[in-house]
Amino acid sequence: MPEDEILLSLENINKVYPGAQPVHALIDINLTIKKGEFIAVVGPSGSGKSTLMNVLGLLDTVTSGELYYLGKETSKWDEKQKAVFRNREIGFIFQAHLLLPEFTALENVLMPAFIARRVNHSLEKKAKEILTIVGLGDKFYVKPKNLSGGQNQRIAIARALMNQPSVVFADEPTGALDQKTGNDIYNLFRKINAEENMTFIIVTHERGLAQKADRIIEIVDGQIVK
Amino acid sequence: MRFYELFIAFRYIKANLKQSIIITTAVSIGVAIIIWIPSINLSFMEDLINRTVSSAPNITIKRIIDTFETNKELFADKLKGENLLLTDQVLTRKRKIKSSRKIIEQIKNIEQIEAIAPYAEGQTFIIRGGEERGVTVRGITPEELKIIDIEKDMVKGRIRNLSINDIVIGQTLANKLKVDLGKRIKATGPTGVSKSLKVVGIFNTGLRAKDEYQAYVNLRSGQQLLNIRTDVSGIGIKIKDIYKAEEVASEVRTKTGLYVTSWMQDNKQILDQLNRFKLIILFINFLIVSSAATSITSVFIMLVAAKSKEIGILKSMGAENKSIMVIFMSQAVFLSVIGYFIGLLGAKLMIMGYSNLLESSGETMFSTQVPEFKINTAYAVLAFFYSIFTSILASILPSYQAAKLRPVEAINA
Repeated sequence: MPEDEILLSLENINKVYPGAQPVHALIDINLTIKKGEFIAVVGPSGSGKSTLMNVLGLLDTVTSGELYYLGKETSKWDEKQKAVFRNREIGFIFQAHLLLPEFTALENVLMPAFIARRVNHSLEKKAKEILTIVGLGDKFYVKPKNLSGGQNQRIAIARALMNQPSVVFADEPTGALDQKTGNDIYNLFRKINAEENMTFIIVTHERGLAQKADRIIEIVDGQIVK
Repeated sequence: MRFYELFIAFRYIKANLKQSIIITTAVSIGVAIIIWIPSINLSFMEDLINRTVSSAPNITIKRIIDTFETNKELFADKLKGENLLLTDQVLTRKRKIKSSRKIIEQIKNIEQIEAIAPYAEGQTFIIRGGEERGVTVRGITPEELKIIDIEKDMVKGRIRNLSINDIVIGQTLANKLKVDLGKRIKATGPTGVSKSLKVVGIFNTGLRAKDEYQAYVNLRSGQQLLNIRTDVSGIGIKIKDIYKAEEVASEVRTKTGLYVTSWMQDNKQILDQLNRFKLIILFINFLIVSSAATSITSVFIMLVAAKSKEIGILKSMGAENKSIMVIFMSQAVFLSVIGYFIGLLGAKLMIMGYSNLLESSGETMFSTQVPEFKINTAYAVLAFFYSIFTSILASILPSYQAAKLRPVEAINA
């Protein structure tokens, strides 16, 4: 796959939340993201950053406009197609880590592989390696409730990387971590980005983290201003 | 992992133990009652039928020709507006069965018939000391013992080879008259003929009607008491398949032209009662299933609400709608299967408990013996499918709701 291949593009995307007073969360968004880019999405609270991430991650539908993944228009995809695509091509790191509390750290990381119906010894080994990289080499069999917020966030990061997706959407991935762990995670993202040509789209409030990105997309009131 | 849905479902069952216990309990209570009620009632009924059938001929040729019964359609027009009691009297008459041997010859070749025996039966007074009891005395031949299975119920003495002065009575009657083997009692027939008879046997069928109000004597002795010379009051028939009694009775009726009844006609009340019981049982089961289904549904709705965020997480990782449905429905089915076996065990214990309770209290309305209660296999199988069906039905709606949750809504829930 050539490095400048377009991973996804948005054409006149609008997202309106209906109600007594409809909320126009995204307004005429036009955006192209290439494979292997490392992008930071910034903007004030309520500007539409999370909505953009949900739309890009096929977690939410658009009101109008077209969203292309690897040249394929996704608006006509049914739920099954979207689910399969999310499983294979997208990794999510949510703001509030969102782990499955009944499962151990290792099982949480393996879950995308479970859903893809492929788990074997090498995948378990890989899950353990990723957990070790994020600093949880001794917490494989610990459940999230017995770990700190930062440790849980690292499990979420490991989980997002498990299926080697084309793109990782991260919503404030280092917000709950100390500076050193935050830097380690950034370096890990960068390493994977360089080695695997994996695209990273990171929503962040941290200027420092944003400035390290290849490109910054700034959203204000549902519109891309930069 | 091929079936990650089951892996998640089992983990949820373990992690949400309270909900799992509530669902299992709802199913097991439902199953226990679904099995217990019919098992008890049908055991009672089956026992009653078995005792009734084994203690009386399958088919009886009677000397009473109830013309009102046999020709009521013919007389229907004439009877309109008439006093039925009077009509009944007019149309009912008796015919003596003079030549029982000739009748036996006529029917003995009917394929289903196993044994035929004439009898002389009527009301008598049995007197012993100050006690006086109205008892049906049945004069029998040795052939009778092939028709009524009374020998197995003998608790003392014998019923074979009855001499002209012997009598066999039921345990309850013996207790009430305070007599035992070898004692003599006086029997007086409807026309005043009296005989002194020696008690040579005591039986206990478990049927109150028999054990207190039935006695057996030699056929000749019966004829003397009833003052019917060599006539008989009826002929009893045993057949191979008791459920073909109606057909065989009809054939005997055609061949002899006499009044013939089957055990089904003679016990119509019991059979009707049984059918009514079955209907009631069906209705009760329906109510139980509905109530179990409602509680399972409400528990699952709560479970789905509590798990919305996790459903969203699973969906964000690519779990398909059908997988989400399988996760929730397989929990319901698995818990129902567990609930079924607990319910089955519960039914068994309840049946044992009920049986012990009856044994300690002694007698029932119809029977002096407690029937052998056993789990009704048909209802046990039905309860299994009920429990699975109920759990599927009860979890479909919540599971469907879970599957239809939009990932972004579920995550933000």
